[in-house]
Amino acid sequence: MARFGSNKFKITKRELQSILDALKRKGFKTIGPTVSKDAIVYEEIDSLNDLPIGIGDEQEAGSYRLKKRTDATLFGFASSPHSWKQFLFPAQEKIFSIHQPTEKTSPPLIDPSVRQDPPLAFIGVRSCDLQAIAIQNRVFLEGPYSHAGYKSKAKGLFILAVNCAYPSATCFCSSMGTGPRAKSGFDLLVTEILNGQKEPFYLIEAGSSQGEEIIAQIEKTDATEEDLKKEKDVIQNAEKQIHRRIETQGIKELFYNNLQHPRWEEIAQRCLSCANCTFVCPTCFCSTLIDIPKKAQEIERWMVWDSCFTLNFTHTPAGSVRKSVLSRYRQWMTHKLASWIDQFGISGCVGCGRCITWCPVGIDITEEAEIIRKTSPVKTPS
Amino acid sequence: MDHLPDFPENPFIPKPFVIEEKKRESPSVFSLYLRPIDQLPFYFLPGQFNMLSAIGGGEAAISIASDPTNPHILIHTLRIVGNVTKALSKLDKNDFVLVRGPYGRGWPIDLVKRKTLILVAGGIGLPPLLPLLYIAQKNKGYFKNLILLYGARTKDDLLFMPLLYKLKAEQIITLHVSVDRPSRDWKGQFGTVTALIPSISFDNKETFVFSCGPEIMMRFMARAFIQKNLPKEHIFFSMERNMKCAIGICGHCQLSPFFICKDGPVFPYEKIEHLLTVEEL
Amino acid sequence: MNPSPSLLCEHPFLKGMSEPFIHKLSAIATHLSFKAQSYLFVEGQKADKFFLLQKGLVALETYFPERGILVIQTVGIGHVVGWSWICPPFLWHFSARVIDPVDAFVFDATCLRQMMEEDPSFGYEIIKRIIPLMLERLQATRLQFLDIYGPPS
Repeated sequence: MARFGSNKFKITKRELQSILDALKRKGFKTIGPTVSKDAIVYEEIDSLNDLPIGIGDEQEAGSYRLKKRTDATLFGFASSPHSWKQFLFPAQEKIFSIHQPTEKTSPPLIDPSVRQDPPLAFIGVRSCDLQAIAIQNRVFLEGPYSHAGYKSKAKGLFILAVNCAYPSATCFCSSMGTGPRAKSGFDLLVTEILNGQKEPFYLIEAGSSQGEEIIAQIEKTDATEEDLKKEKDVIQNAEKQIHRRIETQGIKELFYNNLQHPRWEEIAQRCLSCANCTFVCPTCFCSTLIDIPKKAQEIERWMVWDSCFTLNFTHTPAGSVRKSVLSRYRQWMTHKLASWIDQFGISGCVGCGRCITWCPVGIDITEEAEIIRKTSPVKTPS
Repeated sequence: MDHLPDFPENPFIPKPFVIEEKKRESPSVFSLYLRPIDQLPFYFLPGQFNMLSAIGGGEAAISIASDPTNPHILIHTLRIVGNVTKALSKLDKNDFVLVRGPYGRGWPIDLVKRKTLILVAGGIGLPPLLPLLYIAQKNKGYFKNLILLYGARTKDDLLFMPLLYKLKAEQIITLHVSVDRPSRDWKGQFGTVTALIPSISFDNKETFVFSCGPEIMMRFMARAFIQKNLPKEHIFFSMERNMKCAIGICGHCQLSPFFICKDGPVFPYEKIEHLLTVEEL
Repeated sequence: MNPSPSLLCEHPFLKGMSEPFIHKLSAIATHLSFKAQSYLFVEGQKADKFFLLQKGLVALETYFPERGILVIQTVGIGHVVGWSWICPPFLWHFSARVIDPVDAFVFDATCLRQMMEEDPSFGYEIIKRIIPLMLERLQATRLQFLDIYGPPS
């Protein structure tokens, strides 16, 4: 890894476009941020003109607004309601179809649905989301079993990451150790640098040999000391804009020791159990399998997103295990911040702030974690 | 038992099995005797489970109730409790069932070799323990002693009694049966299965307990054994939660840090004790 | 015939009890067998006996006019049967019917109670052994009350 990242180059927006073109020529489907229905979403993009040029956002607990910026940034916004997981772990995915021949004694024929989709290139992945992808890779690929559909999409994935310059008010990546500077998990990393009245320019570095190959093909100059200082300023400014935080010291024990904390009841009185937080979360991985009748004698089995906030989620013959909203919220937050560490050796929260922004009643995971820490009857060693 | 299953490339693809026999065990319980249509032997470890479905009827996790030394016939015993088991109950001989598995960690059978093993089964909790009875039957001397404490709600809910009486007559098991609700035609013991524990004697160091049944029964059962100075680490539970993927990626069956499907369903009591009394965990 | 002290002290209930106490008990004990369907005692009658089961199975039952005779619990090897003699009014609350033939040590409970009064350390020794069994049976009853195998709600 050490050989990557040591060389940084300065490129223009035009060269950034030529990277996009090169990826498309190589057969990648390029996916990036774009504006749709008053929000920034991730969709297939053809050119940099599809990006939210000069668009930023304002986010707070329970609120999200786009705003016009006074510059021409391509990446002048923070987390969006979409995350990249929808491309690697689609909200609905066919697993197989099964055909029952009319002749009742003939066995059913199972057709595994292995689709050969073009490889994906993600354009503009922030550090928090790089970490989220790394986390989902652990969940879906590091078994003992692996999820074949996820594997087929994650295998050929190309990532062009961007150092986050404009965190929103709901961001807290720095306290989770996941940003704003991207450290690993990318093929290419760019930092967008404002250039007065002129078009922004970009510093670029490779994180993989595939990234290096691409850099080799474009017009570039070596980054100067002054460029590197500007890059540093961008990151430092971003860090200064992050005010929310979660104290992670001893957080697993804190939550394990507070399963019966009275605060859960207070949260439950506000929580609508709507599952928004789980759908916008870039690491939430819950799903269910459903059988859908297609035509006569044909059934399809689909994997669809599910959420621990639904009553049916824990259904057993004797009834649901988690009947109360309290228990469902507690499961989500305790899983994210505590039991995930036992399960996957890593926190399930990357500090992207989506769950705070998109909660219809503005429940703030950072605030709740802080309250539980401050009022914990059991002192957690710090 | 040396044939451990591989991890398939796509773990969600089931295999069709044909129903060779369907047997009613009680008014709401039936067994399916299944043969793989590819004729390949089906190996599993006692305590593991499969995902079963009638075509188009959705999947459910069902423990394996067959003889692990006979990989050519797979037996599942099911209680009709929901849509999936209802769809399966409508199938008949020569119909097809979709099976994927086996999944999960089963009973620690190497740990109990040549030891006294006490099985505590409650209600529909008996089938996952049956493979152990078959081991004892096929391999005499595998266990030093095999004791079965079996409880059910009423006499009519008791399953596999002819098999159990046969094993008792062959001195393969010591059998204690108790029903919770009295009826005139029941001449045996009354009371929850835990009430059978105080009257049995065993050597603490050489005795292990495997239990499957309602969680509350297992909890009280464990306490009763601990009261008799059985080391806590000698007690194992088979747990039930909603399972959808069976491989630890769908999130449904979590119990705090554990995925019941891949970290269990069999757990040392010691590992989960503190989680069982937290409401709605 | 009185059972020998060495035979008595093998019963789980009396295990580890001091020799003088065992001798005291031996003096008021008889060793009896009961056939299936016979009664150790009958509800409402004077509770003047204390049974330690060596073998067999006993059902505690009561009569419920609309439903007939109902079994509440069964008690087996190693257990005690009957503790109504401990407190007034010294009447049996339930009947004890033999299911599997029983061998039991049977003590004169009136004498036993008197001996316990006179020698509190002996009395405490007996009570200390009865209380865990009472607790055990209370817990079992509570669990039965929960209807743990009940049909899914």
